[in-house]
Amino acid sequence: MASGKKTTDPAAGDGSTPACSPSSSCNAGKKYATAEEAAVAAMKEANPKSVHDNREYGGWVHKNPDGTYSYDPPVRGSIDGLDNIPDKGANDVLWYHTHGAYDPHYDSENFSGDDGDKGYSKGNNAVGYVATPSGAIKKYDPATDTVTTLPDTAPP
Amino acid sequence: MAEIMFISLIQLIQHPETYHQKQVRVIGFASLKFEGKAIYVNKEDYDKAITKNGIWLDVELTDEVRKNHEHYVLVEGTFDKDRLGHLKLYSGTIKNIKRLELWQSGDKPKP
Repeated sequence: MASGKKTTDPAAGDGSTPACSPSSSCNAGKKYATAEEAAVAAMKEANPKSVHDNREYGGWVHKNPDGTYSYDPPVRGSIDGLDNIPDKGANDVLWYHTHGAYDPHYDSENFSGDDGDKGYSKGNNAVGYVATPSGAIKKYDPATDTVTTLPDTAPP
Repeated sequence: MAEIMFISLIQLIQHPETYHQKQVRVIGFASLKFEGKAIYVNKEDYDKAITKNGIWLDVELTDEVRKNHEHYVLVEGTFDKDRLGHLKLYSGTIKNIKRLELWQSGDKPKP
């Protein structure tokens, strides 16, 4: 595997249908020109299931030897956390995740702070992306500590 | 009935193997919000997001639970050294939580 890390079974743990599996039509492993394109494709694929199941999904995008980028199949987390995301591999360049369904008690339209999403990006020195319950795609750059909303969306 | 070990969070973080799958009682500063459910050694660690000085809390954020956000609390539950919370940022998880109560200065833990 290009990223040099252990493959994680996205369906492991709860027996539910994964957002992306070898038997589905997912594009994990497909090559994209940029890392962001790969991340957006991953979130477009995962967000409908994430909102439907009200579970977070996430994973990494890695750089291939030919200079293209691919995303790893997302792992399925909990309603408000992702404690099974694989550790950053040697060729991983950014990470992506989803925030599940809308909940009035949760600020799930935004990245969590330094004790969550932003802290993870800072610690790994890696840009992070999130697809929100409304379908917005947001990008956090730890180098500038800025969040931008992409024009593209990941409809639930 | 299994013994509940009343220990400091420092002890728990320093010796996770000792307390793995054991019932523990700890006191610390609580964060109870989306992607940030944890008990920290103290408020400064929470303020500065020193998440490795915290333990993830596997608890549903009900209205009752959220009342304890940003307060010192007493927590009782089962410690799991292998589950590290959201994005593996924390130093373990307390699951099967039986008690989560406001801890006020001068209180003494109930037996």
